[in-house]
Amino acid sequence: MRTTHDQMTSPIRIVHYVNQFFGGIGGEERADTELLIREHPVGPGVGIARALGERGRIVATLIGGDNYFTERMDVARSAALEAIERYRPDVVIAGPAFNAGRYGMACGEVCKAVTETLRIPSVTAMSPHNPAVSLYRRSTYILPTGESAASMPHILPRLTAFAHRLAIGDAIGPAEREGYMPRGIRGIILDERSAAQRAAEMLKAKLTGEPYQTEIPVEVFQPVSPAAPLQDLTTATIALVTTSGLVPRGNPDGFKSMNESRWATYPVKHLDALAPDEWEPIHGGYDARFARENPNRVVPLDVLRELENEGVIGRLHADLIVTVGVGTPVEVCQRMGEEIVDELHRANVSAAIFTSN
Amino acid sequence: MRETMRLEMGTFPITEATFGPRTELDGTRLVIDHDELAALVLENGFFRRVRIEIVSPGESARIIHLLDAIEPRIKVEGPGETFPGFLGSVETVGEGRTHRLGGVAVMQSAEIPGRGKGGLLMVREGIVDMTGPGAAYSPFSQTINIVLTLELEPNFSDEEYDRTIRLAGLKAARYLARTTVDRRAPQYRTYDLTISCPALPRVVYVHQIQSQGTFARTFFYGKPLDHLIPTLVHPNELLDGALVSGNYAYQSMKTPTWLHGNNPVIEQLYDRHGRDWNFVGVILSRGHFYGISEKQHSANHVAKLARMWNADGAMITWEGGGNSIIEAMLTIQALERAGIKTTAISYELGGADGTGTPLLLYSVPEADALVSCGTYERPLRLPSVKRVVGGRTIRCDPAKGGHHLPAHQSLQLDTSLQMYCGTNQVGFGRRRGIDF
Repeated sequence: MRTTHDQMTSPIRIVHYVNQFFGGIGGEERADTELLIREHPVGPGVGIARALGERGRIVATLIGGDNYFTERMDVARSAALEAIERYRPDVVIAGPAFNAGRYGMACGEVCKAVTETLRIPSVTAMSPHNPAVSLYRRSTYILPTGESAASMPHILPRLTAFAHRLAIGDAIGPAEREGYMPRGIRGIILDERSAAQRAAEMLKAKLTGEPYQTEIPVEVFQPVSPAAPLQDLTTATIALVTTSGLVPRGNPDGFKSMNESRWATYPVKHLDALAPDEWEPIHGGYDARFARENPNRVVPLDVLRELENEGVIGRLHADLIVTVGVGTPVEVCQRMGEEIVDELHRANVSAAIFTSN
Repeated sequence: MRETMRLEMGTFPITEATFGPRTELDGTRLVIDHDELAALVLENGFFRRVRIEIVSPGESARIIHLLDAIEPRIKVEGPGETFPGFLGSVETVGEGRTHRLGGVAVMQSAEIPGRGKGGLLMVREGIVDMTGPGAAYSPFSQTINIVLTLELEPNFSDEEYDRTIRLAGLKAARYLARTTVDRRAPQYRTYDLTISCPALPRVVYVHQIQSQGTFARTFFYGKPLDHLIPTLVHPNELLDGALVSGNYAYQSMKTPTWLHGNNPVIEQLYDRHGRDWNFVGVILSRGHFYGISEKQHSANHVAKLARMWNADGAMITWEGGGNSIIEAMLTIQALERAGIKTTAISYELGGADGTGTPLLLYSVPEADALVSCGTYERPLRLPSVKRVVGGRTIRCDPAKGGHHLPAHQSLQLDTSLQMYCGTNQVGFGRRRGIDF
């Protein structure tokens, strides 16, 4: 970690990664070129060095062939990391890669590796359409460029300025203000204007046909298609699964009443019904009086046991599976759902009745 | 031609509050006769004791066990009374003249017994920090707060505590506002929906509130809105206290009475009335219906009312959390499908570190103009404070029986769910989410 004094005075050290083409080695015929090191700026690095002036220098340029990097990624990544570590840079710049797919991958991979392994900040630049963007935007800063090297003169000063800020430990603000591609992280900031003011301005823009941009992008939810119906209920094992937060009295697993990310199984093998003095709902999102009076209202164990005794269903699964479904992020629900499905598969359960609240 | 509903609001900005021998206004200083106010609060017999404290902006202070926050308001001319249905008849309010003490909130603080029950309908902890990182979560770090800490007589029902605590707060607020009755306010503003430029687009405010039962309820003219079919309301009615909050279920996601009367969205719509648009009125709706057809019905009904009003645009806010976003989203969809351009304010998710997806529990493709008012999902560390008002310990996890933490110490909170009005759902605050 550099000290404040260093940040103010020392020129920064940069390692720059380019492919064989921008490294001046050759075109597609030299795409197998293994990692080369030059201790001076090369290709776009010359422009970076010029933009940087006295503020720092490129201490090494790494040059890798497009095929070498993408087809032998493990080897190439290790070689790059080893070289970069040796030059102790304050920041690593890769590219710009524009819309070159393999080059974009290599830039993304170099940046991801130095940031995650060496904890050195990194930045690259490429077209928003480069397939590497979706793979690496969470792992590094990616500045958008045009589709081809024609946009080189525009991007190099911006790339250099951004790298300099990373090197000196400047706080990087939100993506839309700083001009990098969103990294999949939502930050919370204080805007200059209140939410009501911004909503009014957005409404005015929408009414007058002026451009506006939503602050919360919405995702389209994937519909869930139901499994095929059972052929024969009389041989089926049926499980009860619930997000109603119905737990044994005393809440033995300490479930939270909101935003829970765990689930549990509770044995119900010997029960004919769920007794109100033995079970309680701890869910924090619905009026739980009715479930408290009679827990079978949210988990119909009583009826299923009757159906089992009458031979309508083969067997009721020995365990009740419980979580608390309130304010839980969808991706956490998906993870829990997959885990619960695994559990049910292991127990040879043929179908589940899922109750919410 | 018939008279339009025209409300003149006189504001008496208050810069200081103190206790003194007589309740009165001394310039911008509010003097409170402690004993007289205490007697008024205690007269119903449900409280054993009341402690009245004044908490001012900038103090190293934390207010806990907060219930409602109410702005002192009083009707000085025209029909009805402020907080109709509670302090007066149900005569329609929203015209004549009303006085308010600007920058003041009356708050009740009480530890209502949790009675070991789970479910939604219980009082959860509500915290206001007057300084430090917690201050940005609440508008009440910026107001002079008259806090009534109520010690409850035992063995009353939830419903009795709920009703009597609310009445005590409303009466105290009116009592303090009575100091303005014979005075001329330093500032007057007239609220009137008269249309002078008919060519401008017509805009409605869809105010989706929460009302599910005791401790999670909103009242209109004293009547609970638990089964509300969306209805038309004049914004001036809200300025006169027609909407009163009894919502203490999740204190970050609530709209207290103070904000129903000082709704920043209504302020914006009025500020731009006659310039950017014609503000035509408020549609009051409710979230948290249990079935999808009820949710869809509510959304359809809002859109129908907006169409009958010839609305061109709409702004939506929604109170509470969880499934009530479905009504909000279906309402956006129904409005957009009716050709009414809609923006909405919503809090977002994102998990503890901002990488969780999706940001909303439910959404529709038509929701293309959303304003973020922050999140409750990030951990928050509150520093220690010199003064705690409302009790000694904060109560965490009441659904699990509750455990208590010393309130003056620094607090490491997993979420900001306990920060009073922390998710900013009518958009008073500047906290927002943004991509990094």
